[in-house]
Order: sequence, then C-alpha cells, then structure tokens
Amino acid sequence: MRLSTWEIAKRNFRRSPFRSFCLVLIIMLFSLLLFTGSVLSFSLANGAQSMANRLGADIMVVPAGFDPHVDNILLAGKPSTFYLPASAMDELMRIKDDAGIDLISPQSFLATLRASCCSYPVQLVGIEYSSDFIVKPWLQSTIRHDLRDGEIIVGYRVSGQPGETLKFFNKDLLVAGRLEQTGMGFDAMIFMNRATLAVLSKEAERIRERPLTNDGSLTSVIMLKLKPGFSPAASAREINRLLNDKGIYALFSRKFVNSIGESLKVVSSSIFYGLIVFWVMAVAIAALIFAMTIFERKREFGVLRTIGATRGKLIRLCLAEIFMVSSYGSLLGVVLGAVIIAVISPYMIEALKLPFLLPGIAGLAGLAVMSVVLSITTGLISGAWSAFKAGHYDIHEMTRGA
Amino acid sequence: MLKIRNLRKEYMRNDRKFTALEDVNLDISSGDFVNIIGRSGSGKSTLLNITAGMLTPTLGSVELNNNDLTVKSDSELSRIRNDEIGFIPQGASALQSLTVIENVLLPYYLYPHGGDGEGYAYYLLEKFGIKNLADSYPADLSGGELRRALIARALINRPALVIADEPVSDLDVNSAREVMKIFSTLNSDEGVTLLIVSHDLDSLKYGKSVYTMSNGKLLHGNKLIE
Repeated sequence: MRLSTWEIAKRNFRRSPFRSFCLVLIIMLFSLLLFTGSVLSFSLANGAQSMANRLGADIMVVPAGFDPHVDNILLAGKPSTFYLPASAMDELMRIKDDAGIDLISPQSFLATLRASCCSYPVQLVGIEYSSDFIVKPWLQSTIRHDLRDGEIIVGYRVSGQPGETLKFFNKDLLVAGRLEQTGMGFDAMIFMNRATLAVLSKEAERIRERPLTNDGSLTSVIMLKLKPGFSPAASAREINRLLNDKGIYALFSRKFVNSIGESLKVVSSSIFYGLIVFWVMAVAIAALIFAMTIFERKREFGVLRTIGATRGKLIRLCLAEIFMVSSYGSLLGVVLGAVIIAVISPYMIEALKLPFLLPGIAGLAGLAVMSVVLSITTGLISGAWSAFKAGHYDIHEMTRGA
Repeated sequence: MLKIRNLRKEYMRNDRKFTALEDVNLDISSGDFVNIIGRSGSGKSTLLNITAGMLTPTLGSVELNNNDLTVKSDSELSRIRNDEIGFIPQGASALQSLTVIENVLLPYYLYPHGGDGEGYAYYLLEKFGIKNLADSYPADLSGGELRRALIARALINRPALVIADEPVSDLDVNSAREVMKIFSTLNSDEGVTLLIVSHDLDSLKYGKSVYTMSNGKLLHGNKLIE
C-alpha cells in the first residue's frame, strides 16, 4: 500500500461520482467543441487551399448567366449541362492580345442522370488534351500517357479502380486513374478527352431525343491562362467589356477562392467566438464547482494540515484532482468528437456547400493533442484559485466545529 | 519537553479586541498526562492549536523539545506536527474516501519514514480492538470505533506528544469511557505523553495533572469547576 498524492486524488474522484461527473462533463463538452470546431475550421481551410491549387486557370469563360452553375459544379459537385455559343472560341482568339491571354483550353460538360459507378449523377468533363494545362500535368506525372479515347480519370468519390470499366450513356469506358480527394466538386467529376465526350453527347442526344445545343457547340467553359503581369480580375473585366453582347461571361478563378475565403471567415469566426463564449462559461462553472468542492472539504484539508501536510502539499493534491478530472474530460471529449466527425463529415460536406477536406492522420492527431492540452489547461485555470485557497485557509478555522 | 511561557492570544471580534488566552504558562514532562477542562469558549482549543503550531500567539513562546514553535516556518511546523506531535482534532476527523487502515497510515506516508509503518498500523488497530475494521470506510464505523482509529493515526509516527481536542465530546458515555481508558493505558503502559482538553467533568478521573481553563486563564487543579 502506498498513499501517493495521485492515489488520494483518485479516491476523492471516486468518492463523489456526481460531482466528478459534472466536472468531467464540463471539460468534456469544451474539449469536444474545441476538437470538432478546430477540425471543421482546418477542413474548410484545407478545402479552400486545395481548390486554389486545383483550379489552375486564371479566368473561366462560361455562358452569360451560368456562373452560379459553375459555383455548383466546383463547390458542391452538383452536375450541370450548359454550352457556350459556338463563336466563343473565335471571339476570344480575336481579343487574345488585348486581354493578355496566353493559353486557351476549352472543356465540355455533360451531366449524367444515372451511372453504374454512383448512386448520384456525376459531371462528365471533356478536356481538349492538346491545349489543356489543368489536368494534363497531373496525368503526365501519374498515369504517364495521354488520355486516350474511351479512357477516363475518376474523382475521389466516384467508385472504380484503374483497369475497371464504367458505363455512361451505353458506352464502356476504361478507368485510367483516380484523382486524390479535393474536398470539392472535382471529387464527383469524371475526366475524359473531348472526343470521348462527343461520342457520349451523341448518345445522350439519342436517349433524350433532342439536341444538346442549337448551334452544335459542345464547349461549356473555356479556361484561360494569362501572360505574366496581367491581373485576372482586370482581364476578366476587359473580356466582359469587349464581348459584352456575345453571350459569354468571364470570371476570374480567384473569385471562388475569395468567396470561399469569405464563407470560411464567417464559419471560422463563429467557431472561434462560440469557443470563447463556451470557454468563459466552462471556466466559470468549473471554477464554481471547484470552489464549492474545496469549501465543502475544508475540514478534510484541515485534518491533512494537522497531521503534517504543508500548504504546498494541499495545493498539489487539489491540482492533482483537477488534472485528473480535466484529463478524463478532455480525452473523452476528443474521442467523442472523433466519432462525431467520422459520422457527420459526409453530411457536412453536403450541407456546407464549401470545399471540405479533413486533415490527414498527423493533422488530426495534432488537433487532438492541442484540444487535450488546452482543455486540461482550462481545468487547471478554473481550479487554480480554489487550490490556492485550500492551501491558505487557517488551520485553526478549518478544523473547528466538527 | 513542552514549555509554554506567557502565552497570550488576542483576536478581533466585531471590531473589538478579544483576549482568548492570557498569560498562560504550562510545563509538560515526558510521560505526563495533562487534562485541561473548561467550558466552551474558555480558550482550550486556542491553547491546543498554538501548542501544535497551527496558530500563532500574540505574545509568548511554545517550546517543544527545545524548539520554539512560534518562530518556525510553515513547512518546519508541518514536519514537527507530522513527526513529533500526534494531533487528534475535534469530531470525526477522518478522510472519508480512505479506509481505516489508510487513514491511520496517512501521516506515515506524508513524509519518508523508516520502519514497518503498515505493520505498526495493524498492531495499533489490533491493540484498540478494531483490526477487523481495517478495510472499512470511516462512515461505517461507530463514534467510539472511529475515535480509536484516530488515536491510532495520531500514534503512527511515534510522536513525542499526543494532543487531543475534545476527544469524547460527541460520544456516548460508554464509548467515552473506553476512549479515555485507552488514553490512560497508553500513558501508563507505554509512557505516551498526553495533553487533552475537554469540557466533560468525567475526564477528571483520568490524567496525572488536571488544569482548568476559564476566560483564557489556566489554573492548576479543578478549582474553577469546584
């Protein structure tokens, strides 16, 4: 038998289960909110960063009035089919030098209604392989060959492994590779060359019994890369001014990242201020319970002093109890938070309509450790005054009136 | 062993100076059994608390084995209370979360001590007839049993002086007599030096020296009671 400070603290923890439960609950709730809140913030920040990295183009040219559709496709992965006027490419080539355009690459979109790969519609994207500067660099570094006719690259949320085939519009297509998770609409996209998409479009027209466009255009967006020194925002404005009446609209890609940044700022601020409010409440409630506990046990501390415990020993005993309660609470909060994140993150991706990319295992572990440390510190801050008070009561008063 | 000289303790009570002890002098030699009786509020507990280094006097000195307790630091006094004084506070002063044997051993484990503390704790419990309750919790013990456990706790580090503050005040007559007999036996058989305060006249039957405390003054004998 050895009665250490920890052992006595452990016995006191068990002795009052309801009081211990209340304290653990307070710290657990704080730890839970801190962990889930920080994971949410980081996931949104990761998503925004991923989007900025993935977009690659400085300007996207879309049919006039269709920019909200692009938002839906890129941010929420909600498929859409729309096409630019057939003259759009020629018009852009005409003003290429005035707008500072360096590279031009068209893409074709086709939304599926049902597919063998997925329980939801997916966005088929046809890229012009010769001019593409967005997907091609990735393809060259991974599958190490051109995207041939009948081959596809699938997004993270689309099932299908390299070598397998997926059927779209009655055509079997070979999966050549898979994209990593981006936390945005790319996860629900399937990339192919424009020739393959043209074949699928014909089949789509046959199934739907109507043409996709009146002018035969199959270009949905045109990606533009600017020459060095040109501002995407200024060039987009110039394109819109020059081609005002041509049924096209130029938007600079940073707009998405900026708008995500704004939303992210709102969400992150809400989380941050919510955490501050809860932290103040948690500190106040825990401090009150600790103070009541210490007062209730005044006589017990008096007894310890009469048998030789120093002030420091009493303070250490109180802090050990507070540390124990805070450790249990913070660990439980993080475990519960991890379970909640695992269960609700797919729904959050749908609900937030913002790019959402969970940190990796190391990142999650880092956030878990930070949450535990901050929650334990919160517990210690809440109980520090009570612990100090316990060590400085007058022994004579503590032991009086049994 | 214990020399109390010109002890005075003043408090402020309702903005007025209140004298709890006035010119108290007391000598206790090794093996003594001193019993101080007096009414509630007469200053008995104040005297014990100053004697155990838990309260600072306004004037005077308390020497235990030639150490003046009134000039010691808190940590020095704590160590003296642990090693040289076995203090039994009023009432049921046990830690409810610990078993009886753990309560008894608590002073032993507060500082490093040599010897077989655990064995001695069981010996004391057996001596006081409560060894069978070693693993019980204080809440399961009767008042008399608990008081015997607290005496064992006070003796665990073999102190030079055992001080008991109203040790039988909340016990029934039979339990009170049993406890007082234990003190008496400890003194007569093992030479334990005891300083006990009580307001119970029955305690007059025990102890080698009896003092009376009234209005902060200590008088030899039970003259004031008479």
